[in-house]
Amino acid sequence: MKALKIGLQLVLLLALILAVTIVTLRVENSGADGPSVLFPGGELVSGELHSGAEPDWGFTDEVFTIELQLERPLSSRRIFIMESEGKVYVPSGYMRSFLGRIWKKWAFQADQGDGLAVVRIEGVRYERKLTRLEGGPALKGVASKLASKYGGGATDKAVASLMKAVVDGNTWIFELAPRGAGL
Amino acid sequence: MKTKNYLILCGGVAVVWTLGLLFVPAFSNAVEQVMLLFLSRTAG
Repeated sequence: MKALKIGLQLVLLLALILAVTIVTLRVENSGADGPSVLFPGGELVSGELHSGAEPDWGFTDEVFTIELQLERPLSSRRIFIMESEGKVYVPSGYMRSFLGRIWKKWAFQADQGDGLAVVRIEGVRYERKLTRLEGGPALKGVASKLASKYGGGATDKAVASLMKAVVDGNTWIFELAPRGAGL
Repeated sequence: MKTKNYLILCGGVAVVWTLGLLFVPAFSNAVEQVMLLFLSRTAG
């Protein structure tokens, strides 16, 4: 009985620490100029705002993560980036899992909302529009880049697996399109 | 441990933990990394 009580007390203490951690870090980061490693941040404020012609996005091959901020709701997070055929994309995985639905709420908000976003890459901010890529000829190049940059390599099996994950809806891919695109 | 002592322990741990997260960046970064590792291993 005594051991059970001690065990219960330990579990409750660990749960308390977890809750304190989540609340503290979430509140601390919510108004920050950009996200932390795990918790969303606020509006991306610092950094030059890019204007003019589309850049050569090839430089993002050397960038591991970028900061992505939605306009509505105003929050930001860190995310992978892939360049393929002159366009840039961001992924969101685990979309059909329970944790994914909690962790990746931004992707649902981007898909259901207007998708307006700002990304900050190496200190420069770019105004973009998130457009979901669910298939089509561009998908293979994006999956190949995702596998080679963040996976174990772009083998046929890995690329096919990623393409299936996108088609099945477990992984979502958004193009960071120019805001004027499609208007 | 008696309930009163346990509650005091919980309160103390919560305060110290919160202060550590707020004022020791290396500590909060380490905690976040552990949470990220956990999520990346279990979210699938």
